[in-house]
Amino acid sequence: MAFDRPDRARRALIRAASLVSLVLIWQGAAALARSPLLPAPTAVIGFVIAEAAGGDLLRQLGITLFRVAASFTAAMLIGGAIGIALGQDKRLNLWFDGWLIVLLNLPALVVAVLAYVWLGLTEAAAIAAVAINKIPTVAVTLREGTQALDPGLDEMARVFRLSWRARLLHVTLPALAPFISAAARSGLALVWKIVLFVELLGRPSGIGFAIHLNFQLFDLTAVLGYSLAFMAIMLAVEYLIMEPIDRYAQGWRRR
Amino acid sequence: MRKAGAAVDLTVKSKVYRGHPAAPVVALGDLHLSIAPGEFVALMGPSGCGKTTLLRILTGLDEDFEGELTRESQAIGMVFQEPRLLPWRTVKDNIALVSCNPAPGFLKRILDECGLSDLAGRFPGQLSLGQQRRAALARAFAVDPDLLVLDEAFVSLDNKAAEKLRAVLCTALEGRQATVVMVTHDLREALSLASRLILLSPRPGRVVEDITLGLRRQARDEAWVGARQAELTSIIAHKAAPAATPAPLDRKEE
Repeated sequence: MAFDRPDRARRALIRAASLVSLVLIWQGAAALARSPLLPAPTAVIGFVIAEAAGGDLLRQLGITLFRVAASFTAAMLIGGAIGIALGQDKRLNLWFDGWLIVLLNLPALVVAVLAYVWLGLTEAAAIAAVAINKIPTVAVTLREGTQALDPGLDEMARVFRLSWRARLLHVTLPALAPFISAAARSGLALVWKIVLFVELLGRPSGIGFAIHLNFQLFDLTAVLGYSLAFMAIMLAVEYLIMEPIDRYAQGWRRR
Repeated sequence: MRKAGAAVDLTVKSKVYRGHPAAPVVALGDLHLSIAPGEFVALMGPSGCGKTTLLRILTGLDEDFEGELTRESQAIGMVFQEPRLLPWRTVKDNIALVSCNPAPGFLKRILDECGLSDLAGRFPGQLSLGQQRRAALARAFAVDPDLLVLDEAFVSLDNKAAEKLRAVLCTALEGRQATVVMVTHDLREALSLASRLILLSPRPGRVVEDITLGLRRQARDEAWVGARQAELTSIIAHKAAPAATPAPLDRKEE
């Protein structure tokens, strides 16, 4: 959708106001409860600042972000390649459609446990477990996208003898952009949640580990602080990286 | 049968579409076509007689036929019935993508020739159908084609837009050594552009009439076109029709 400048500014304002009111409700509830089990947002933010300055927060954040980036990239590349291949080849699709359905319905917990058992409690196992959880959804989305490609443009590319690289960059990928975007945005949200979970299960570092540790200490200020810091970063990734890329890739539609 | 030095020499024993669950359809049968370099061939025939199939075989898009194709050409430029431009690339980028010559002057000359200089930065969705067809024609010329294939490139345009596109085509063909194969339903259009007119029978298509139009394109006038049209209309109605009932030359082929 196209927004004029004033419209966009107003939209941003409404978003900010909505977030602020959420924080205010939280603050009010904490004031009413007056319990260590519901720390006030000011306390949580204070914890985040203190931990960022002198504690472990930035290191844990960095480690988790690295795991998110690695598993997300692996899932997009592998899932994308599988999806495009299945979308192009009906026989291949017939063969592997069932596998995809099995993978789609495999619980994240089972994948994580199996990965740790087979690969050991290692970084590779953690990243693989997260990627495997995400690969089938990427593959399914891109398979649908590939099946919806315009055969007319493919014929055009063949008549004009475009190289495979030119076809990929100028014909296939731009046509798939909405599907890649959908897979990436739903994927990022899913991936970071599973990363935290995998960290909790078998890594001695990262936000998931820190939350687990503080949960055992019953330090809810720290639990909320770590979650908040990470959520803030993922929101920034969505608004500052994903949305602009999306706007750029789909720019031709709005002219 | 085969002529030495032909730009295109095609023999189709048969071309069958085996659609499921539909019964097989014989689209082309027993067809031979030899086109000399530099000829401008207009292919005509009733709806569904296999003209588009023939073009797909000529361009190598369809290799699933019984017969033989010899093609001298190195570069094929094609204008499809729908323009088939990449909607996410500008006019200029669409043309540059296939261009055989990376020099900016080459691209600029083609844009100028096709009257697209002002539209170079636009996306196809921002253009009228006539402008899109011109862009598609410019793209076909950007490969410096020795074989130019036009599949009803002038259909569903208003007279003015079609006239402009034909003028662009004629100008662009000057000074180029391209062999042209054009499918059309419009006899006047064929008479004003082509050097040779080939008429196909109803399905399964085969050549029923092969007429060489002697006069140079530039020397033809209204009177000449009118006279030839009167002369050929009855032949076409007779030859291209299934027995007894004359088939109208439809505008659209499925």
